[in-house]
Amino acid sequence: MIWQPLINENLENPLHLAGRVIIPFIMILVAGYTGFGGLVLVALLIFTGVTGTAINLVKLRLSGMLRRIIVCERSKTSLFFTYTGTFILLYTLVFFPSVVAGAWFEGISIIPYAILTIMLAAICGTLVGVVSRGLGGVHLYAILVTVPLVLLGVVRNPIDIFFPMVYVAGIIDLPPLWGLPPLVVGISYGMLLIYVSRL
Amino acid sequence: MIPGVDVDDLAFTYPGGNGISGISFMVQSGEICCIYGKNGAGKSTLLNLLSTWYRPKSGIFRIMGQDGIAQRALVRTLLFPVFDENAHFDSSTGRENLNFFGNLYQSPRSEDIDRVCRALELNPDDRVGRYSLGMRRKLTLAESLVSGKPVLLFDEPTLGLDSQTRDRFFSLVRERADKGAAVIYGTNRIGEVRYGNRILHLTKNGIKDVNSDSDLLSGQIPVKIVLKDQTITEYLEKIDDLPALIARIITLGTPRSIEIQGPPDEEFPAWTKAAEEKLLRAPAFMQPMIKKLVLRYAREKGYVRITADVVEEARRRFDKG
Repeated sequence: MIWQPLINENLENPLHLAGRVIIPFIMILVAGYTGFGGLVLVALLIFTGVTGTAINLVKLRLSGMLRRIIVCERSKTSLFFTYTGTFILLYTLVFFPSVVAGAWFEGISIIPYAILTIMLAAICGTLVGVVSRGLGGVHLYAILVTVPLVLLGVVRNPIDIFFPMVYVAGIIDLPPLWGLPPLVVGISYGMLLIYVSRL
Repeated sequence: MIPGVDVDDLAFTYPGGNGISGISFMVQSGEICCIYGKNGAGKSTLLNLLSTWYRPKSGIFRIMGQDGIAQRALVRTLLFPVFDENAHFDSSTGRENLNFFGNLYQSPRSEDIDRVCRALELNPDDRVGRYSLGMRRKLTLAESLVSGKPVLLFDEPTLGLDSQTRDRFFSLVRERADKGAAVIYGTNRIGEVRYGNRILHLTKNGIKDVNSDSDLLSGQIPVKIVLKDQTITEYLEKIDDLPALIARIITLGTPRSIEIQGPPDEEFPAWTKAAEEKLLRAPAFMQPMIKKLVLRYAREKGYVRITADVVEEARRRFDKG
């Protein structure tokens, strides 16, 4: 089941929709000619996927819609996946021209990995939305998740092969001091997990 | 026969310490039960518990014989709660929202949608973003009425509805009850308790059965409000609740007059000319109400003359309320 009304909410304004499609597309074109097409695409997909999915969930909570949805007879797992699935579909549609532009520079093989990146970002976004109580918190948690996720996907680290972003942006080798990001990532995720487990 | 809703010694406490406790009652299938209580009595808390949104601190409740705590998932298949907000997708039409909630609650596809919408004077093919507050409420109520669930819960169902729609809504509720649904609605408006075949009065001290609305009316202050196309009589427990009532009524239109009814007021204490002039500065439709408020305030304070300062003092207290 896809939440058609939720898609309507996000595609309602034709001007906003055009902006959402065209601006990333132009960004990828510009970045592509300077050799950073894949990197910018990853950053865009992760940032929009996490933040957009999370903010929408918080808005549903603030409007009272989430309460109406949660007390229905569907399981929380089913609700999680239908909500996340809706945003995967939405962002796949919205970013399709950008992904194609990225593929023009980086090769057609990045397309499935770009879609996997959207999936990963939307799942993380839903989790961020679940733990955030208000619009203030959602931005903080989204940054906490987005930055490490981008770093994990583009900087060489012991687990980089597990992230689809690596196959979109390629890997960046940094000097040993820059081995800090995985550590920061680990600590951030640990803290988030501790916070979530206390909810 | 298994009761639709069976509540036994239910309690819930908010982190601040407020909440409800010792709540026990039973509602049979086919019954419409009104839970009356003033603001803060715990009606919404109780309905949030019955809807499975909150988990009780102690006590149990059963919906159609199923334990509301241990069998929460099963209980959710049996009820359709209407909360005090009208949350919808504004970019979709009323019908799309009806279908969305129908799918979400896995309600049997009802042929009733058009009939219920007609009865509530709701155009389901308009976008919800264009709906007024009352229309949004009607849509929320319609979603519940077409759900076909055996237990319907309503928290302040008529919020923002005019009196004719309110009557039509309750006759649709009666139809659902006649088909076997157990209906519980919470309200703080005495004029609405008569729609229930059972009345429960919820207070901080617990919940008790009340025989009729006249039991609740003693000690209440009737307020008659004339709008463009209808006259509404509401009851206040204390005069300080008047601003909240006006704020609620204003969503239906600008009142032509607001009259606090009850025993005729004596004209004593006397008004000074300056006080009368101050009174005349208020909009004409509010003057009788303000006059009564000021008189009541002056008597409370033991003033023998109402000066412009007394009017100002009363206004300040009224504004605070």
